[in-house]
Amino acid sequence: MIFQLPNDSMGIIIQTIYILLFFVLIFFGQRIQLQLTLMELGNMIGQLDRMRINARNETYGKLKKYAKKEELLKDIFERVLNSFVIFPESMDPAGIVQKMEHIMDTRENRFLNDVKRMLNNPDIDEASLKTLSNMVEATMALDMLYKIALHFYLLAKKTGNFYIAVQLQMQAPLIFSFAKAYLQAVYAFKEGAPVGDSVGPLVVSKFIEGKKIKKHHKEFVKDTDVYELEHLKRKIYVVKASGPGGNVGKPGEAIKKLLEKNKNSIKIVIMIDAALKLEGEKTGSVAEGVGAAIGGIGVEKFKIEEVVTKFEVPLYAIIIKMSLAEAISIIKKEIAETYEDVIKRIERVIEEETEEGDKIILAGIGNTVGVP
Amino acid sequence: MIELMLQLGDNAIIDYLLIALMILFVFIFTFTSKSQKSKRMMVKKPIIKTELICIECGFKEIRDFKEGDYIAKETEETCKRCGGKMKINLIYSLEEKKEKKRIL
Ligand SMILES: [Zn+2]
Repeated sequence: MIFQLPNDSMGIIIQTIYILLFFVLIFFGQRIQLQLTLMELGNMIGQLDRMRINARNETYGKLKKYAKKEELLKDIFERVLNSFVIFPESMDPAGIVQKMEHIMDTRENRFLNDVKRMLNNPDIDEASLKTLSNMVEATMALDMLYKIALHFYLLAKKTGNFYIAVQLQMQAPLIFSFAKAYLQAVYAFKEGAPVGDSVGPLVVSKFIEGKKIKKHHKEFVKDTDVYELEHLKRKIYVVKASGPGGNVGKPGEAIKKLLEKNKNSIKIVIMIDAALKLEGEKTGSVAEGVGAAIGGIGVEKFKIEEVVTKFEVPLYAIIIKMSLAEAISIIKKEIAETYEDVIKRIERVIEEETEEGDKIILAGIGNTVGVP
Repeated sequence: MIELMLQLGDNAIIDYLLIALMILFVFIFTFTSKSQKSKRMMVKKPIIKTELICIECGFKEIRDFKEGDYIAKETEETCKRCGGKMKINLIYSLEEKKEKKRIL
């Protein structure tokens, strides 16, 4: 024995330690827990920071390959990463969709021009430019996520408030899945390969492949193409964002214009899109339904719903399920391979719901990166 | 617990053992939870494959993704079976099988 204490005094010491521990835990328990939580959150913030820096470096490195002047790139890159959008006031919501669209259009133009300016390279093609700007956007999103998480972490540390720390801790798994997804998006756009969300354009691109295209309206509306073709003895208008650069286009505007042009002669509209799956649902499972299958801030969705209601055209949707991370990282094999099944379903819906000689709109919704 | 402690109080060795065991548990708990978490946070660079299909005979071939590849693009490769032109049928990422190890 190292400590040669008499047996009963040892018992007393241990008993005192237990009683002391009991009181310490009663009075300082929460503070100890706060410190533990902050420690864990500190690790998380560190990890987020590494991810953010990784994304920045990847994006900056890619931009540098195309840029003519590095000082210019550095300057504008920093400014663009810190840029913001103020959404319109919703207190009086009438007309908010137009306001929203106007602001988002302005932002997109400004953003694309900024990317052009930072590269200062007249030889770059439109597709690479759009993919690069998508890459910058994903980097921005990750940067923002980090800033918000850091804000709450520092707030909890400053105020010593256990509940702010716990709130952040509760969100941690979600924050991480978002951060991971954005980082994967940066990698995907770096390569210019299709992402999970590209499955909509991919399906319609496969649908028109090998068929005789009667007319190809390039830039039917901004960033969106329309293909006219005959299939199953029906006339089909295929709507898709212009590829293969990273771009979602304006499918809502295109559908609106098509319906207004072909007054009352279009029988149905079919939309194909990627949709978020529930945990436990299989990635790449396909489901059919009705309604406007389109994400984003809602401008395009609003337009489609309004115009199909005006002309009383039934709206069908086929969705391919995936998680958020899968939607913005490079398309997985099981998602890409669903196209055959989806095309079969499209043909079945067309045969079930229309007659020969009818006109149909088929829209592939999503980011068309890597899909022409 | 305390009662048990009191009964064993005369035996100092058991006390030391208990304390040592508790410390050991605390260490094991903190380290395992941390390493599991950091594993979950890791992001791996994806493996991207390009599936080519022969325009003439439909022969399929898979190779690594190259920058500039996009779907339906005609590539320089020729078909290994008939020598015809090939185009890109699909592009997708593969997951490493190792990652799917289950911890139960
Ligand atoms: Zn061949």
